[in-house]
Amino acid sequence: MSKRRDIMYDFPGDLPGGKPDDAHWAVYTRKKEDGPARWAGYLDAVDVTLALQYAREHYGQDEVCTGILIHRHEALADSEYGVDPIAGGDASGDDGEAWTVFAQRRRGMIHIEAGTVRAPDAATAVARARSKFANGKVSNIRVVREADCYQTTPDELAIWRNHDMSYKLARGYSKDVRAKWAQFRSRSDDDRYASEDIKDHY
Amino acid sequence: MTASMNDVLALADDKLMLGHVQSDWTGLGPILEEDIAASAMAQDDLSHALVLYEFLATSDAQDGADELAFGRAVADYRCCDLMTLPDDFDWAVATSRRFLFAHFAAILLQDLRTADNAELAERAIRLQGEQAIQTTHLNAWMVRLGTGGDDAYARMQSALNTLAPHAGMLFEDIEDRDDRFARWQTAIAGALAEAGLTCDVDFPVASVKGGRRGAHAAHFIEQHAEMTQVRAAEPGAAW
Repeated sequence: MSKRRDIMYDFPGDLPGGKPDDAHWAVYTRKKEDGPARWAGYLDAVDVTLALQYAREHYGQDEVCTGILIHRHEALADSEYGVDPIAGGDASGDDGEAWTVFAQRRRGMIHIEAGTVRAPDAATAVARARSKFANGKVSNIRVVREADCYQTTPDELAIWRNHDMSYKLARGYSKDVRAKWAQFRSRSDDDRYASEDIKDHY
Repeated sequence: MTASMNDVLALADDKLMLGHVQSDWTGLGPILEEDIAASAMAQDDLSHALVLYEFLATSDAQDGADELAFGRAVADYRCCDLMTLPDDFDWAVATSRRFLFAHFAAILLQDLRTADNAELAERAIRLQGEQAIQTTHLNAWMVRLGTGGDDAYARMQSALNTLAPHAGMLFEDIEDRDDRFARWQTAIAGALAEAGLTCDVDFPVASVKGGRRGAHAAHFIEQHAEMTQVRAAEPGAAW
């Protein structure tokens, strides 16, 4: 631990309360520019600007990432989660707003962008999305109004950490250090054995 | 351009020290997401230092990157002591320092992209993208905190007032320092103006000797001793 952490600071007054203005955001990443958005995780942020900023930093660097899509968690509506594939249904129509559809192929897998439907409300959007994308092959359908989805723009691509990241990965101990540890543990075992042997003997 | 190896070493040393200092904040950030982001940036800085040390170690037939990072005498480090100035776990100071340095690093990396040495230029291009993430992030936070109410504004302005007398020393003993100082002032001016903050930094006078020329403050020496503690306990250990 850093010596600087040994310093104890006194902060006057009460600690601040919770973070009532923080929103919960769902994050999806694209591996290819024209590829689907794939579920990546959640984060908390007070507004969309900060949410996109954190999404880029937290989810845009673990693997190749060419774009990010986010939405507030409460903006989504979804079908039931089936152990078996859910039924498709026969809802149709193209009136209303545009909704982005995400499909989960099997329970426990991630949601992947499947396409869009148009619908006047969330329930209708789910029904139409089921009809269009379920096909007896997915365990859950999720819809989010396109207007509630926020995405990075192409001119931000230059800042993705999408190059070789191996140089910043932690490197393991070399053979030399491993050998020293083995030698140290062996010596320690010998010392303990000798100590206990003597104690038992007497 | 002909890259100055002294500039590369100065940037590497800056990033090594700031990466260590900023790592102290891991787990202590004001909010979880910012804690993660700030820790990632500290990791970036340490990684960038490694990339630059590896270049120096191979191009100048010097000792390895680890030896450059941890095996030198205090007077051989070329970092600016702004990096190790204690922030007393004041988030405003930590953020403002990273803001001031991130723009300085971005300018150096921008110049190194056109270095005559192709290997150095390639490395600079690789690092510049990650540096841009830092400047974007820190610009946004300077504006958020500067415009985030009277208390936040006062803390940020106080932090900048604390750092300003030391920030000019970033430009001590580096190439094209007049030009780079002017570009740096332009680079930081946008976010500061939007935040309503001021940071009056004087160009360093030649007679004042600082970290770039090996004259380090006590806080650098203390940080260096802590940072090299393991190395000193097992000289020559390979990791």
